[in-house]
Amino acid sequence: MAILSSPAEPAHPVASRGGIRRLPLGLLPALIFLAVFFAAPLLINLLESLRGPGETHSLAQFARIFGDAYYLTVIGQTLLFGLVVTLACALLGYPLGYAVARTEGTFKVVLIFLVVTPLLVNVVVRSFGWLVILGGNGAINAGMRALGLPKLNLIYNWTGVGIAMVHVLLPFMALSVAGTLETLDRRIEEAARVLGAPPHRLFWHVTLPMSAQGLITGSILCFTLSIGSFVTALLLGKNSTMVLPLLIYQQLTVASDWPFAAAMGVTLLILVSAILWLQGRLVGEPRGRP
Amino acid sequence: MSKLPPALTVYIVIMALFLVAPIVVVVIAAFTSGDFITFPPQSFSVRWFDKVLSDPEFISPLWNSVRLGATATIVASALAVPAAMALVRGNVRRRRLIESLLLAPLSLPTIILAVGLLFFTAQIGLGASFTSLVIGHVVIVIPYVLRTVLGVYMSANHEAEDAAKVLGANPLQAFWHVTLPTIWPGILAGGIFAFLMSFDEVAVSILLSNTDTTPLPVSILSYLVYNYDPSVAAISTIQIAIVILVLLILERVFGIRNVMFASR
Amino acid sequence: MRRFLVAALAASLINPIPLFAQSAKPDKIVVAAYGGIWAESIKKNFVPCFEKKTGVKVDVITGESADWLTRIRANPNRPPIDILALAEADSLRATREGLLDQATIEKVPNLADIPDKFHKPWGDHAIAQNVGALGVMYNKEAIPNPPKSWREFLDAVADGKFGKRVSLPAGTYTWGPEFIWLASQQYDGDIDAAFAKLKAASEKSVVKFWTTPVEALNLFGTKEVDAVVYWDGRSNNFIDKGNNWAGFYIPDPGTIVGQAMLSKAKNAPDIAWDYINCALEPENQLKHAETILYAVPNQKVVYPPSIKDKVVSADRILIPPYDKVFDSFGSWIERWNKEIR
Repeated sequence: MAILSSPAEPAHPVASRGGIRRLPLGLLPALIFLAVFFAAPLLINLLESLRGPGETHSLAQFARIFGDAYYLTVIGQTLLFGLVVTLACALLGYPLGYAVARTEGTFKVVLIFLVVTPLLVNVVVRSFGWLVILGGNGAINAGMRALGLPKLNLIYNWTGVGIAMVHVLLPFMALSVAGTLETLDRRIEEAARVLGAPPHRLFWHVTLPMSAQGLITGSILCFTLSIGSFVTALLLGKNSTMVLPLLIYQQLTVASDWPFAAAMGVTLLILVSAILWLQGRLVGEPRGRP
Repeated sequence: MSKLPPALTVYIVIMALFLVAPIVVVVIAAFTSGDFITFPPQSFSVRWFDKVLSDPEFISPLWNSVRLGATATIVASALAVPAAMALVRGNVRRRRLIESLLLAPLSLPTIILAVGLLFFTAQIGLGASFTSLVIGHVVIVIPYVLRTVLGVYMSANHEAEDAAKVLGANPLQAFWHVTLPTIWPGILAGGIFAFLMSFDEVAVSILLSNTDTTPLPVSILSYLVYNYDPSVAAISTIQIAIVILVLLILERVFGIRNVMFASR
Repeated sequence: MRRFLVAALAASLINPIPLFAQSAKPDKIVVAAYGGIWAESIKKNFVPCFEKKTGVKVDVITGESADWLTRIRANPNRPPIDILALAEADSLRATREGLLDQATIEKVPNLADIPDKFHKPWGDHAIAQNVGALGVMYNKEAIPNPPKSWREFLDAVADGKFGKRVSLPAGTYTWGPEFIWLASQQYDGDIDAAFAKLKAASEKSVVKFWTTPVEALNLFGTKEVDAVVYWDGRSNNFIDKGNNWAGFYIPDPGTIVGQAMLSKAKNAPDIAWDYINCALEPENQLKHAETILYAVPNQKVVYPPSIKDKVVSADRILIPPYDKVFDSFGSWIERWNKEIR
């Protein structure tokens, strides 16, 4: 069994020597598995979204989405929400990742555990935990009352949903950034320092650009996860904080309108893919060692 | 010890509070003697732990989630590792396209996948079963393992691998003795994420589970629909303890500090 | 003998079901139930009757109406669930899609004692097993004199009389459309008036429209709200746990109910009818009522004084005319999303 289709080769793919390149065997199990169990359900969904009355096919469901200002608003809200959450994750998560990468020993292990903590509990239970903290009678407002300050409205709005979303996505961002920083060649930083660069210049002009890859990877993950989630919005939001996955869930359950839900699902998938593709074009292909 | 600037250390402390806050709340709530998850709790007791530990409605699902997560992670790794290696060294045409295809499940809201899989597995005769659940979870978690293994393998030095082959090792030997130890941190990191994501998965689990394969999130949700008491907090605390235990063991055995970074 | 066996084998390969269906007993049936105390109750009060009578085991699967409907839609020929507990709207959908079998007095003798309104709207494809009524649970200290009728209550909430301290069921909750219908009935059936009131309520009084019962209970229990429109069984359960500061009542003139309906999936084994019969048996119905504190439909049931005041009496139950309003549900949900912020 040949795992690699060709013998010893440099890390960077070189131009093929003409002829048709076969797909390496190693790719086949994953591709076949996903072709069957990922593409097939997608196809079923696509067909369902095109289902008209009787046995006909039509784009009626898509017309419903794109012809209605409300649904377009929901799409817009969802994307905007994803963007804001991703930005917050990047800003808050980068320093965390930096700290993880630049520490050693026990402190590092403790930091890693801390960073991973949000992922330890199920989303439903986590959301109830947030209600206890952010609620009108919750911990934060209890503190506000004690200090004689006005009540903060932190739940049943975008703020609450956003806080909970950023919380659970931070591990992904922090560890992506840490990963890139870990594998960076420290000698470049050393060289810059030896050449007299002050710490903040070192950071902005050397460290940050070199760790951009980690930021981008983390951002992609944060963005796709934030616009695909609905449980947080269901429990911590209200009707006006409607996002597309929640609408899909609602149409599948209480309205039992599968074609409509399927059309929204297809729309969401296309949107995410388009954004990822755009990002790929703008940023360019990542290389191994710079 | 840390060589971090003091401002950063302060930031870390504040963020640490943020990161653990809801978890701490849940754990404290598990020890409340009252019938509600309130804060601060009025008095303490362990009666909720008694209840969930003796209630098959919680304990079986916990075990189901563990074996589901483990199985899905192992299968996903078995699929992702050869794929990652092929992508990096296999000189594949349209490499980026294939990579995006393999990572595509990340972009799909799991509820869409869940409904599609439900109908698909019904048509191929599988129905709601452990196999269907594993399939659904594998689709969802493959990208996590693939990403991290790609990251490590891409930035790894391939000379040792090539040398082994030149010296006469067959591909399998080269993989086992040279490549695997190199990419092992990537597999472990991706595997941990995969396991945690599987534990958290709701939509697929709801639709593809049956009576003896119900995973924990589903049983918690069913319970929560009509009951609201700290048993949910108690079972979640037990779940947290198990995951922390597993992570600690991994840290002792493999050195997690070397492991968690392997992503691009 | 050999020829017979070969013929039987051949027949079973071509068409397994006819050869075995009537004579073979399944080793188990799958029954759906809501989680927590529901599942406990049916395991305690319905399952033993069936298992003793037929020797067939029962596997209880918990979840929600929408999931069960999706599952039998996905696999109509080999339904993964034999006895469903769908909500009214989902029962109607399943009936229309031909996914349920029709009950008869021959198959389910106890059907004779169930009043028509609990099964006729579904053409006997679904029969209520318990009936929960929507009422108002309130904080007696904050609201000493709650409004007597639904109309007064809705008007008060639309005017913000209780402050931003109220929770109502969301239009997107399982029984949300029925709640919208109930509201419209207070204004002579005018849906627009109902929506106007609910919209005003969302601006002035409602902290959150609850989408799962546990949210409602949490909002009330943590005193985030002073009044919540909620189910009688759950409310009485909460009050009985020592929360004497809370009260519950059903406003005039009556209220809608949430029914957990019993249905046998098409292509599920016939022996499953015996389960439905067990569930509708008067003694079992009474025990079920005592466990979950909801009313039961069997008219032979006589409630003891301990629970008589807690479960809704049949004369206060209003059932929406599903054949007329069901098709509007989809548009009401859409309207809810657009108008109620």
